[in-house]
Amino acid sequence: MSDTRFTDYALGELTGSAREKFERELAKSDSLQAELNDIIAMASELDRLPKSAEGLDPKARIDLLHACARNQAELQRNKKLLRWFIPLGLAAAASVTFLAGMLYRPSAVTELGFMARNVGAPAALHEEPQTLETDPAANPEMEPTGKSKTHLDPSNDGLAQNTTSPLEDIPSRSKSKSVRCPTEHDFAEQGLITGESVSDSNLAFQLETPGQAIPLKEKQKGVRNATFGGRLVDTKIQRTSEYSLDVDSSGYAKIRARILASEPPPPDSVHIEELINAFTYNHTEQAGSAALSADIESGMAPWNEEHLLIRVGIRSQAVAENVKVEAQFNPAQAAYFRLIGYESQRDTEKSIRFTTKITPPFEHTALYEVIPVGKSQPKTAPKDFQRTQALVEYQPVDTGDLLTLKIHHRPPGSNQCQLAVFRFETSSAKSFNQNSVDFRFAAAVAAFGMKLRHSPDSANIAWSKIEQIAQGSLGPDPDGQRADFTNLVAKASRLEGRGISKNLFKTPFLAIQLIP
Amino acid sequence: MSAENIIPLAIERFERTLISYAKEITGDIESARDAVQETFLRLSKQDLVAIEPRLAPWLFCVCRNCALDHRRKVVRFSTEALDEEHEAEEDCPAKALMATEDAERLRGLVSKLPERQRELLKLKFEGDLSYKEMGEVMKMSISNVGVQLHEAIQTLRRLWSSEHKPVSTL
Repeated sequence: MSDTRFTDYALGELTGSAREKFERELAKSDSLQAELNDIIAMASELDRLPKSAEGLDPKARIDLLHACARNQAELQRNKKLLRWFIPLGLAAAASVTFLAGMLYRPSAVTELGFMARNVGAPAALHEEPQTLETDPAANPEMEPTGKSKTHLDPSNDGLAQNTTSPLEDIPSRSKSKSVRCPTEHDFAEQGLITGESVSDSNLAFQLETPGQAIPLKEKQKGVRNATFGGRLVDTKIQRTSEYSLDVDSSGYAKIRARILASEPPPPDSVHIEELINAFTYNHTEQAGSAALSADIESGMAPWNEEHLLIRVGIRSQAVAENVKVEAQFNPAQAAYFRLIGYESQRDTEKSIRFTTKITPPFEHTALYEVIPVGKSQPKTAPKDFQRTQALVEYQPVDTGDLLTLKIHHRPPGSNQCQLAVFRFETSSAKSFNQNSVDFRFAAAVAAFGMKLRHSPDSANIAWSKIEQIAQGSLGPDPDGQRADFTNLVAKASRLEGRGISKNLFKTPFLAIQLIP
Repeated sequence: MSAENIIPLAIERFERTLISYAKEITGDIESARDAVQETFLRLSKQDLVAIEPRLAPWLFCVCRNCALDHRRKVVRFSTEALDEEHEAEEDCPAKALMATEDAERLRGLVSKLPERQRELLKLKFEGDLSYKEMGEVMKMSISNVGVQLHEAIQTLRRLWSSEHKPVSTL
């Protein structure tokens, strides 16, 4: 086929209306999708060809650095000299011409020579996060180290207490308060910074029509839903991500059974969020009265040391209703984010719903991968949101926060929604080895799922490494669940090794997700 | 990035990629290294603040010119010599055997592509350049970059399926 759009699309170079048109064609034809999958598979293979390790000779490199520094120093000297000589020279020339009877305007000439470069910082537009959050400076107890824990106490009518202990290792600042129930306006307002006004509607409306929770503006503009799991999302365009706490943890049992039967599971049948939540994590949370608590931890992503992995653990001890979780990334810190798991369309719809009711003991773990600002940009990442270029770009206020987590919920029997806000600073991220056992284990499970889904990112982490991480993060493991997982990784590694070489281009390496 | 850091950081980030790219043109590692050193020296004589926003395409463009100069000066290596060297430099980390074999086979197929397409593949998959930047480096139109890359990938797919013999399961 000679349609170059396949390659353009696979490499993220098809944009705008051409891309939309192509996606519509793709959605109608299985054969076109198969063609695209093949091209993406080849592109992924090319992308993961071992990169050349040949560098300069160490001594040559040092000499080169010195030579470059000398050249630059000389360049700077010449520039300085020019700064002095140009005005002087011009002035001299002008004097000569003056003597010859011409006009003489030294001030203008001098001005030219000493014109200062304007380095003023652009005025930042301040975005009001939400009125209920207090100024970070007014929260001295929330030191930016360690872990965050906030409890919402249903017995406390109105203002929920922040029980953050100052003695704990606290990475984030958090604040919770009783608020009005979230409205559609809230969802539209978060993430997309435009001045558009959106109609107010109540929580009940949201609950009755779960599909409507997509920010209204996005729907109107036909923008792809950014809560799509598994995709990189550019925070300049969309910085809020929502996910459901409803996860079917039986997914892991099915995958496990297939692997033990020596049948590699079909990539699309692997739902990473289900695998992650099939395990018990010993959230260090102990408070008896807390309705909801969150625990955020971040470290290096084991499959890409430039990326951060964030684990968001949510736990409930009393009953909570109408729970809705939103993670909001700070574009000044996070260039891109990816919700791990929740890839399929089914999950996408699910992920934007409220979780209607959670019954304790309840815990949920979500993982985000973040490409911090200043790190290498994704190579083959689809430029999903280019069509939203018309949106106003805004200058984020860099508070140092990487992530703000908002949990809306309603204590049983109450008419009032409560909102807990947890903030996590980039500086609290650790190197992977310093992360908690739970963090590392969850990362291993995620990597395992990515491998099984043949995600291109998983090419950067070897099966043996996943096994090693899992082995090193067993923790107390009372029922042997984690040890069993470690064996499963070894088994899957053998199966996949065979499967990939056999079916290299029969199985798509990347699940293509299309707008319906 | 402040001006004094640009060159050390650029060397750290692009050294290997540029050498790999230059080697695609010169055919031998020493000329490739020379071309890359020359590239950074030329960079050091530029206004770094002005170049920094489009540093990658600038480096690849200059590196390409330097490498082409070297190739004109020195004996041209044959494709066979290239292939041998590819094998000789093989020093893969402990990866799955099958994956290594596949990578080797793919690398072999890439070496059969026309030079221009090989360069484009390097620029895309190692240099991380966009079509527009590749067009600047190779002095090609953006649409031609797309056509050539598409053709390269299609050829690789064709060669792969004609050569690929499934390994029997154990």
